Amino acid sequence: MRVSEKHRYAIATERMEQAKQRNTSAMEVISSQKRVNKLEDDPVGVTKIIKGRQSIRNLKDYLSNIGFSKGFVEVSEAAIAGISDRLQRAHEISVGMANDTYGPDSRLAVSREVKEIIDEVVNLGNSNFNNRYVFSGFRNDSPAISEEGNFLGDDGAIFTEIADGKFRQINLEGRALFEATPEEEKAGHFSMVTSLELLKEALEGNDKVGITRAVDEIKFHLEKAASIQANIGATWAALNSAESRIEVQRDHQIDSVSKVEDADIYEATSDYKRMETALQSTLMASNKLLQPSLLNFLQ
Amino acid sequence: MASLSHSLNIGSDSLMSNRQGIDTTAHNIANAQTEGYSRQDVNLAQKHPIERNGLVIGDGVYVGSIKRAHDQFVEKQVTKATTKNGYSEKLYDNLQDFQLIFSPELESTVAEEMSGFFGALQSLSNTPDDLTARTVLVDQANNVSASFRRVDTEIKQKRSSINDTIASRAQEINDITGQIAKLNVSIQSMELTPAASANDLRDQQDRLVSKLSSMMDVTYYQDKDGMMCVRGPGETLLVDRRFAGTLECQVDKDDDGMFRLVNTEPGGGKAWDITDKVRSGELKALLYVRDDVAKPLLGRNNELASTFINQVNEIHQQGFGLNQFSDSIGRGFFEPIRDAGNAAAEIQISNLIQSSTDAISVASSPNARGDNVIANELLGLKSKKVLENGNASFTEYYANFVGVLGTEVVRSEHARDTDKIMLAELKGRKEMISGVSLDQEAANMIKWQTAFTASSKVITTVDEMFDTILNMKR
Repeated sequence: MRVSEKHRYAIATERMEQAKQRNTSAMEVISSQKRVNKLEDDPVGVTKIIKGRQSIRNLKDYLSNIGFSKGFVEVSEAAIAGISDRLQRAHEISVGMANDTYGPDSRLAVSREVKEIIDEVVNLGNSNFNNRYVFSGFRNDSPAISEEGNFLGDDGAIFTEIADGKFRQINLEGRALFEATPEEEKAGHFSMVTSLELLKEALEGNDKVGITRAVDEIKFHLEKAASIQANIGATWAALNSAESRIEVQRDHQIDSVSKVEDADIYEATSDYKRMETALQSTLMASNKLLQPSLLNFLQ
Repeated sequence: MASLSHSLNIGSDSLMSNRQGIDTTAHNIANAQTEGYSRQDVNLAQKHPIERNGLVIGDGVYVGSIKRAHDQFVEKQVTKATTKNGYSEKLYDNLQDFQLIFSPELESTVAEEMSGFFGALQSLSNTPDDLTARTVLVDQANNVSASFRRVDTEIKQKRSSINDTIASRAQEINDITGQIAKLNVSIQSMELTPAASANDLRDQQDRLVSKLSSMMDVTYYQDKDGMMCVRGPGETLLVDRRFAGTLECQVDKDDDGMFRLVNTEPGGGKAWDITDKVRSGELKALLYVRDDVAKPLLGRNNELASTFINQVNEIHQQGFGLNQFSDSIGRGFFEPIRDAGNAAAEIQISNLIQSSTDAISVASSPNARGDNVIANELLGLKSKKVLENGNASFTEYYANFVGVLGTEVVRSEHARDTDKIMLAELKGRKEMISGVSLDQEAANMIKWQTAFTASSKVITTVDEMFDTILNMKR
């Protein structure tokens, strides 16, 4: 086989170029700490990275949604617990005052406490989270109940997304709590504040029959509050379990994207070292190979 | 018997012939690194012998021919490999440009901005009447629009720069074919005698053909007069004897001003549109990337944009806004698009929303500031399979077509590597035959020099013999 000069130089340059190219890619992996820098590095991996990043972003959004929802639910729960408390106190008062041992004066005195209870219930009913009245439904930029105890909100159910396509209602229907449904009205019940007002008026008027009727009425509201409180508990539990599940999912997802995307730094370093050695020896060999020629020996 | 001057002639012919050997060796050495140079060999031949007195006497040497070391068969293989290599190398180079547009390194890809948009929508869903959340959503929507436009503009720019490259390649091809035709004339006038071989001109012509073949698929042959005929894609005639065809770029009005290639055959012959006939070479790579990569990418980007706009608008139109928009519906989030095939360029947030965030309508009931029903419905879009006949969500669609592009880059890289090795292999084989080896030339130099020295000895000897004769008479 004849070996021409150009062929020898071409081979030497080609080899050097190859070694240099591999050296550069190895360097790129190290400096970016990423295994996938371009589409061509791993097209299937890129698809996974894009989908994975979207999924991580979603999971992070869900976590912040849940954080928001928990704040909202906490305020609602505190409010309803307070209301129950007040109702409990009103119940105690009504039971006590229904007794014959109290005269009109004591009843009048106690009616002032009931007035305060009413104010507190209205206040609690207008609890807000981030300037949002939690019982107002969608009209949550304005108070849920008026001073007279009329419900001002609507039946809007606020949902937030807590998993892919899974929404959870986070607010309570204020109307059910504060207003009597037509059926309840038919059964002789009143709205929460009206019931308390009736108790107050009965106490002021020293109306023993009225007070006795208020005992049952307030008990009815207590039970209603308790069942709604149980609902909140369920929401709270659901948010909590979703949160821990999503945290696990998120970590898992971050991990799996990183496996595709990030370079194994030990492997990358040893690759680089290997390529560097290869480059150096190629350069050395090329230098030696290109030297000898018969011309060197002609005098 | 021949005369003494005959001996002198043999000597001087020999001197001249061996000097030619040194000459050609020098030519070889000088061109050792010249691309496309074929080593030349001096073929010495015995002169026709003379007949005297019944004897046949050798008449010395002459330079029979100077031929280039050349193998047509290998040359044709190299040409073919050059064409393939031209295609795969250009293809890889150009696809590189396109993959940068969709690089996973980028923070502002369409996919990232879209998920940013849905993220902003999540915050808005939590606090539907919050001014900050609304402003962030508008910003994000503007980012989505910008990213669609960026991809659209970059692809279009690359596409039109490829188109310009095609035009300049066509010009180059015209130069080359013109030169080949001119060389046909020069070679013919130099090769009037059978022994004459226009080696250097033929090398030059081969070099031109090789350059031409890296651009597109060509076939060539020599006609009976030794003139080269070159045919291009679809057998269209490019060079015929002393005439060359003209490759022209004609603007295709139906395709954004892209060029079509039309070849007018030599001597004002028929004009052929060869755009779809080019099968390989750089030109094919350019045409392929322009028409079969860039164009579909534009289409996919547009489809993603138009689907996104339509889906978002459709839901948004059912919503109520805030304040002056709180009891009316029917507003789109984006300006409606006029041409779905140009959605990525047109995408723009609605003027109403641009001037007031109150027009963002995420409430399902009038005058309800806390109503987030429509926001939640919009959120449903992020995983809804609305593309590819209900098989892909926005992100999946984007990931898929980016993945397909990536696979194409990888495939072209492998093809390029293979073709490069093939070409190097064949060029090596060609070099084995045609290349210059300095060692061999050095050996030849010694050979010719020795013969030259010996021939001059012959002449001095004959000279002494003349002296002897002239001195016979005192």
